[in-house]
Amino acid sequence: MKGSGRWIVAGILSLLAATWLVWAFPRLHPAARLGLRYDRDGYLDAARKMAASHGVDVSNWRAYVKTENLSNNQELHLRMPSDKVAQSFPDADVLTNFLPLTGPGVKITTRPDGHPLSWKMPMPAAKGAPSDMGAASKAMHEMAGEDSGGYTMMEHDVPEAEGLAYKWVRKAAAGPHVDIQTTVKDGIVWQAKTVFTLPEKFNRTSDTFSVLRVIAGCAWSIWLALAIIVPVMREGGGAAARAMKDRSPIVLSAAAALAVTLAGMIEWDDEMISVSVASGASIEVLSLVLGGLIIGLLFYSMSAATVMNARVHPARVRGFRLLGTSAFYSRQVGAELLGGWLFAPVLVALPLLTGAVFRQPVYKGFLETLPLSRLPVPDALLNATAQETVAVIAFLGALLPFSIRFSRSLWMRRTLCFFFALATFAMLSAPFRDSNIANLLRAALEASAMLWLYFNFGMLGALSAHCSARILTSAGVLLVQPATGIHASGWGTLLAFAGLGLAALAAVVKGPDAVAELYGETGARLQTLSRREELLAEFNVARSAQRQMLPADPPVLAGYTISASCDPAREVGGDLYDFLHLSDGRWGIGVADVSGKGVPAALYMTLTKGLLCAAAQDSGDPRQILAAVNKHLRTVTKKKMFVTMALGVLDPEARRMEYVRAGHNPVVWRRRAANETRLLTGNGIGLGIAGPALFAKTLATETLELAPGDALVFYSDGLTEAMTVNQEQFGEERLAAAVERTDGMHALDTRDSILREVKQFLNGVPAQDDLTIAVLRVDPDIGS
Amino acid sequence: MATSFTVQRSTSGDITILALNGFLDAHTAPEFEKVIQEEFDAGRVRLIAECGELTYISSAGLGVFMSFIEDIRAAGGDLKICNLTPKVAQVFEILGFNSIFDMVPTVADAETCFAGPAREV
Repeated sequence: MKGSGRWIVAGILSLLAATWLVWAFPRLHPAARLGLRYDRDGYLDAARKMAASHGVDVSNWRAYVKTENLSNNQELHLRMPSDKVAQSFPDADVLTNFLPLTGPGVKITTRPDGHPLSWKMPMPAAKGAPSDMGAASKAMHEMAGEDSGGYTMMEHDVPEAEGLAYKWVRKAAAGPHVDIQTTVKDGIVWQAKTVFTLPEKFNRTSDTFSVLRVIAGCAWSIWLALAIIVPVMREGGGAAARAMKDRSPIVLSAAAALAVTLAGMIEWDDEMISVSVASGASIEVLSLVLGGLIIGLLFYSMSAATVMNARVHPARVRGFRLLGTSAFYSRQVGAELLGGWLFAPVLVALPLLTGAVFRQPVYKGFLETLPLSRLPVPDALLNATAQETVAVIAFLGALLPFSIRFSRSLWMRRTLCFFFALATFAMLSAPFRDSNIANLLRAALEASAMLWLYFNFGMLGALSAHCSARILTSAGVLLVQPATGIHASGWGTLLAFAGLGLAALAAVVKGPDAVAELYGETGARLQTLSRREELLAEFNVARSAQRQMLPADPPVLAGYTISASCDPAREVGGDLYDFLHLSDGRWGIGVADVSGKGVPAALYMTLTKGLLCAAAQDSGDPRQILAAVNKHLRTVTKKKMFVTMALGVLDPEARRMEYVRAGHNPVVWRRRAANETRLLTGNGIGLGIAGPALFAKTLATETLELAPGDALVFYSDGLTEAMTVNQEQFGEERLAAAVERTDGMHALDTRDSILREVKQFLNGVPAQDDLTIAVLRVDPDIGS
Repeated sequence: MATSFTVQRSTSGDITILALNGFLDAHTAPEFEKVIQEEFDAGRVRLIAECGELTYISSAGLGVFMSFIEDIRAAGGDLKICNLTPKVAQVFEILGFNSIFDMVPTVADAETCFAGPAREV
């Protein structure tokens, strides 16, 4: 889907999803069950008062507040609606940590309504009075509240050094029970907690369905293996180096590391505090270390992604690669970001919609825990990426190109793509507890959405949708809480979300065009440059404009793989390859070479491309196509200009190719089954040289009956005439031998392998002429 | 990579023999072009390109052959090509020049060719 179609689809789906979410989010999203009655300050006040009542002054301590969705308890509520004990289990809890500059801190949990659930302060050092039943009893009454009468006293042992322990128990016949335990030392209740014990069947350590976990585990392992081993195996040590040239991985990982570090500094979480206390390191230092680790992981996965994906779908990683250049503010980047952003409500709505259709409560949203941050809006923005993002990058950057590259048939390619997509998204979350079908369907919907985004807005668009959806969810989570103090943060986050969309829109409408950046070295602004620099910049524009005339991606044909590339020796070149979809359903594959070099050749190359396209609309016969191109070229070109072209017209079903050669280097036909390699040297004069009659008389057509495993290699003379310092040419024999060594390979690998051999042959000498190659490989394993 | 190219002119009656030596590519093509132009302007339109020492020819070099052939033939002359090394001959053949030009082994063969019928382009 090109042009405006993708925007219309994204826009309509987004509008529907956003409208539905206004109704559905407060009713169906698990965050709605958090039921936070207070904002951060409210919970902190209550916790400080509680600390003061225990004789601890925490007023100058650093504080951390987070809430946790207790989905096991929520399930219990739904299953045992009339059990009083079960109904007393909290839906969520609020954890407040106070941390002094040194030493252990104070930890308090309450219900969302502020009622205390647990209390822990540093253990008093002195060995105090042997028993203080009174203080313990007071604390236990406080925690039990109205239910005090339902508890019975129990014996409870703790090591003598910790003081004396008391325990109350409240049990329902059906299983759930609640304990309140206190430990008293030196007359101080330094530890008190309410322990909710679920019946065995409700005590799910993870809410991910086991089969899905196995699939997810496999996918995760495969990805890790791929992301680490494959690029290293295939690229040698060059993967990271190549990706460095792109700069996007390093820029993005640095940005992510900065985000993690900043988020860590704004809001330390529970684990960070405990690690910090145990190791004696400051939280800021830990934040930096964590940031460093994340930079490594992200850098690696993105390097792998850029290197692998750029070779399979260059057009799909365009925006992603531009992010690392000075053209990060450009129309191209803006369009991909905006497309993803626009799609975010759909991603938020998908799990809720699946739940609504299957009548299943959603137990897991994007956020299991919600930090009540000091700076909620920046925190929501900084939390736009998470470990899930790495999985999405891994899928789009490594698993997807892998599926395309290493599968022989279209059918297998599609199956693999979808399997990896499904596994990745099943791995990320399984929000339903009682319906595996619903979990699978949600994963399938999300996988389809991501694939659609990838193919329409590129890898950056898919990532943008993923991150935007996280920000939008954060806004929704804050907005559905009962505490009005939290709503302001929700609106702020929503505003920031809108701001991101507007920024992307601004880039689309007002941003510069990044075509020069894509292929040129500079993103120079013309008005500030000298004449020479201006010309150079214009050359870059010409180069990219010319590059864009070549097909972005080869056609996908069942039973075949196709791959082509063109590397001009100078800024612009005279070589050309093209894939023509003919009106009779057949496909034309052509490689052409304009005589001469530089700008004149480039101008004639564009002319030839136009003539070829026009001629291919009028006829599907390769002879007639070339005759038409010859006629026009002869009329309009200078006398010493000519074009050579090899053109094959493929009937994919019949596996038959009609081949003509107008003065071009003969195509190499590798017949694997017969172990035979032929140069297709049929007669034909270059285009623009001879008049119509002589041209037609000379041109010979050859019909090739292709067999599984066969390869056709179209190329320009830049390849066979590639010359070493000793003026030795690569030549047709070496080419034929190189093609023979690619038996059984995917077209892309065939192309890579041949170009690698040329490069090795040149041994560092730069190519003097444009290098163009197009490979068609018949899948080896289809029936003959 | 430094490339060198020279053209040596000699005559045999009304036929000019151009002995090409070295690399005929985009850099050296103008030199060859100049020589043919001079011959053409002087009304000498029966030309033989002797290519025994021509080691390389690029598309720009081939373009020179093409650019003059119509005018030369219109003026009643021709440009014959002889003594091609196998490598250069292959380039001419790939391009289909054998359908347009007379390509023969020796200068003597080329001279004989001038007696034959005129060719079309």
